[in-house]
Amino acid sequence: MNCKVQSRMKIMLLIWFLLGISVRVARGQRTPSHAAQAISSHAQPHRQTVSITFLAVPNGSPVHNFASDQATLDLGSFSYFPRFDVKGAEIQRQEDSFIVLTRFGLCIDLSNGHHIGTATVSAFLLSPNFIGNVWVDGLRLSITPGIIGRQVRYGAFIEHILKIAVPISMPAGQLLESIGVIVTPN
Amino acid sequence: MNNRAILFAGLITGLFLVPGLALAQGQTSSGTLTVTAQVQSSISLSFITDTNGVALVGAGTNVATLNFGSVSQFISPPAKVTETIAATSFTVSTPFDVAVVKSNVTSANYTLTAEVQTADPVNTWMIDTFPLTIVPAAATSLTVTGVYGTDVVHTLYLTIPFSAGASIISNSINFVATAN
Repeated sequence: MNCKVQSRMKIMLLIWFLLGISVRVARGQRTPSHAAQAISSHAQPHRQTVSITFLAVPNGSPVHNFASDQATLDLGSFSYFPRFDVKGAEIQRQEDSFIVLTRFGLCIDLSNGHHIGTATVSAFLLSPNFIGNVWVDGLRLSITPGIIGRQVRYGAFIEHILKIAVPISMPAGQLLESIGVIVTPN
Repeated sequence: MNNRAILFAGLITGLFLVPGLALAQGQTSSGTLTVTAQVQSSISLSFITDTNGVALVGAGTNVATLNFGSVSQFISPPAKVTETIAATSFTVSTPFDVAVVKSNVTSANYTLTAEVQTADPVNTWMIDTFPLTIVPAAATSLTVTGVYGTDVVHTLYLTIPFSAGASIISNSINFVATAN
């Protein structure tokens, strides 16, 4: 009987020991902050990384990829009363603002080339200072990430609709808005 | 005892898998899409039917037609057309509205000019109190402090001499609004 109890105690101790190791290892995998830039995913090359590729779509604005996981969507010049060259964007006039509507593509992939599994894709505004509003697929973006895709397959190309509301009171000039995209494996 | 060994082995295997699952689930990636555009300032002019004026064809746009109808020295003018008789001519007039709206412009007001597009040696054209010039002369200034976003009433006057023969009078007046 005593031997049996001792044996159980040993098993319990071993289980707790292994559990402790597991927790430590799991903690070590976490990204330190959700707002970190794309380079964080490449900081540890021995791990499987997720790449994010922004792509142009037909009838959408041109997309220029200038770094890994980073791109620029060029809407061209536009005004409330259309007379300028809008690159693949549609202008919708409202009373006090106008909405610029365009499309872009997003593809997430694993570094090992496998397309197994899904991920959740979220988007947010990097700057809280823009006086207009930005929507992706109908979701109004803020500095807090909001989900724009819940079960996105790796390797799949997903088209998204981007809407930007520009108030007519905003002075003419350069519009520069950065949208952060976060991919979390499911 | 065998069952215990299997259970124990299963537990150990499961515990070793935990870090593996965490490896796949805990890592997030992020990317940045920068949206660039050049917002241009713009203003727009449109003609609006005035409540006391004849109905404009194309009201609400920047290309409209104002038809006085049939007018004569001795016949009462059509509805919403005012006629005044002078010694050697008669004048028909009617009000119409001009609306100028702005977007992404910091200007406080606008300048509005108008000009008759085709030479008319017989009749005289006037808006408000300003006789209209004819191309290629410089356009007539109607206001230098136009208020954005409001329907501003202007009145078009057409003076026809008694000596002119019966005919269809037609001309185009070009309006230009410029942000100050």
